[in-house]
Amino acid sequence: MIEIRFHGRGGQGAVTAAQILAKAAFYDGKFCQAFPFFGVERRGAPVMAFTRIDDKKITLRCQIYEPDYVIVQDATLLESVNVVEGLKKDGAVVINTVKDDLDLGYKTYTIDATGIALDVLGVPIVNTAMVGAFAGVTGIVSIESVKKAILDTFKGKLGEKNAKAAEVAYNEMLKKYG
Amino acid sequence: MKVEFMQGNQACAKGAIKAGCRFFAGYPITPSTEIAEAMARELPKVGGYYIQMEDEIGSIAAVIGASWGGLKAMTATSGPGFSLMQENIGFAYMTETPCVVVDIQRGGPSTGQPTMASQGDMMQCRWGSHGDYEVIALAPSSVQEMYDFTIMAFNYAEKYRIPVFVMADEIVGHMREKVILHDNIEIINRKKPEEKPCKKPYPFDKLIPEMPVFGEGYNVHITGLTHDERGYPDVSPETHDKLVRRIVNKIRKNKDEIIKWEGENLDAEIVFVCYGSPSRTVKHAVRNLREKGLDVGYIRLITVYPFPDDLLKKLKAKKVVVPEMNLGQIYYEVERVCKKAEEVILVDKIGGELHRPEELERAVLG
Repeated sequence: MIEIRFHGRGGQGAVTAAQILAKAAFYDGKFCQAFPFFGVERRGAPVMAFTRIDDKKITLRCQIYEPDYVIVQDATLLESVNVVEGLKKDGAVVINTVKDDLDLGYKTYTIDATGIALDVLGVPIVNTAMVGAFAGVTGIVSIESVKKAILDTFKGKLGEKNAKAAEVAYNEMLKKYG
Repeated sequence: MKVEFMQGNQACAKGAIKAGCRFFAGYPITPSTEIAEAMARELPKVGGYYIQMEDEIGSIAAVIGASWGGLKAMTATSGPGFSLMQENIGFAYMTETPCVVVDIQRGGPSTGQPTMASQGDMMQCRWGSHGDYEVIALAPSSVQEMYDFTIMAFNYAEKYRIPVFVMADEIVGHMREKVILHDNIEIINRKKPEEKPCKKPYPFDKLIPEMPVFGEGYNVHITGLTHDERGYPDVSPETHDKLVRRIVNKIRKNKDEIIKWEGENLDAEIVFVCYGSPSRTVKHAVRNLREKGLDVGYIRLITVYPFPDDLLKKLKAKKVVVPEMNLGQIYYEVERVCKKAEEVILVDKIGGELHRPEELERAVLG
């Protein structure tokens, strides 16, 4: 079973990202679940969301305390949240940052998701780009399924733009980390 | 049959519509609001009605009215709203009004933790209104069960003419998982009296009377006062005894048909008794403990009420373990019944998080 923990701030779409990732896994024929953990319902407040993906039925319902991957949507969280808490020894972090030399004590994949979001969407909402980046670096879900899940979540032009943001991030990760 | 990936609250709404629900009255409250949102979107498509009321008191009142108007009706709320509904829930019991109340439980008391899970309303759902009445309450532990149990709740409500509770929590409400939307599900619809006008809508000699509908010429009187067979107020000791005993007995005498549970290895030395979200953790813990060579089983209550006294009395376990997301509620029911056990252990958890398997294993291993 692969367990992923998302870190973001209220209003950045971390919960939606977890949902899109799980739905992509669903379209890939896997078992999956996604669920949020809010502190307060407030824009800007730290938020966590979780996704589990497996080839067999998932029976656990508790939070993810020892994830295989951590996805960090906002690097400013590093100042206030221990985003790598419980991360498995061979786990990895996918983080939205312009810095390439980030040392979090774990394998770290960086991407300027904010730049991609501003380019493609015109707003700094990075959740779909981060799911695309995760797909690119891990191969756990296909980019086709990610795009399909995004188009389910956002309709019309907005859906197309978000699918594009995911694809750009996916390709960038493939280029960067091969 | 369709397979979809959806949130628990959405699955609840889908189940309600599948069951024939055509009326929803509610007031937004975290973490149940997605049910209201889904019903607002979907009910008009099937000729149903959605109304956002001024508060939860108005919501349950509107639901009762809609039910007497002939529609299957429901509301959804969380702890604070559930508290406000209790008086009218009592009215629904006394008037034998079928309806469904979904409670997506959150941390309390008071405003508490709006975004966090809890099982803190379990005693309130049993004893929250005054007087004597019997309850049917279901406790889903997955998104699939949010769909299935909502349908089951409507079936129970219609069959027994009673409000039925779906006692979920924030975890299953906000969880997203695969759901199989079955086609071949039995849907129970209420029976109407043949006689118009209906001279005895509340016959003493009929455990579950047929239900008249307002506006169809039945000419019945509905009151929360103790009433005679005609539905008119009669607060004499004899009438009260006959009426309330019948209302209570329609559940007590059918409890074997109503009570649902699942379990494994019931003759074990250690048995977990669980319900709702913690049930999933229990299954993991039981598997891990068996691998360590311990004789462990579990009973998972699908219907928490009527409480399965007879089932639990049969347990031979020395140790009975009850995990709850509260500081002990159903635990006291288990303790009351499991007299043979050397110890009944509560594994409580509050604050919004679900038990981890290790916590339950520690409770057994000491």
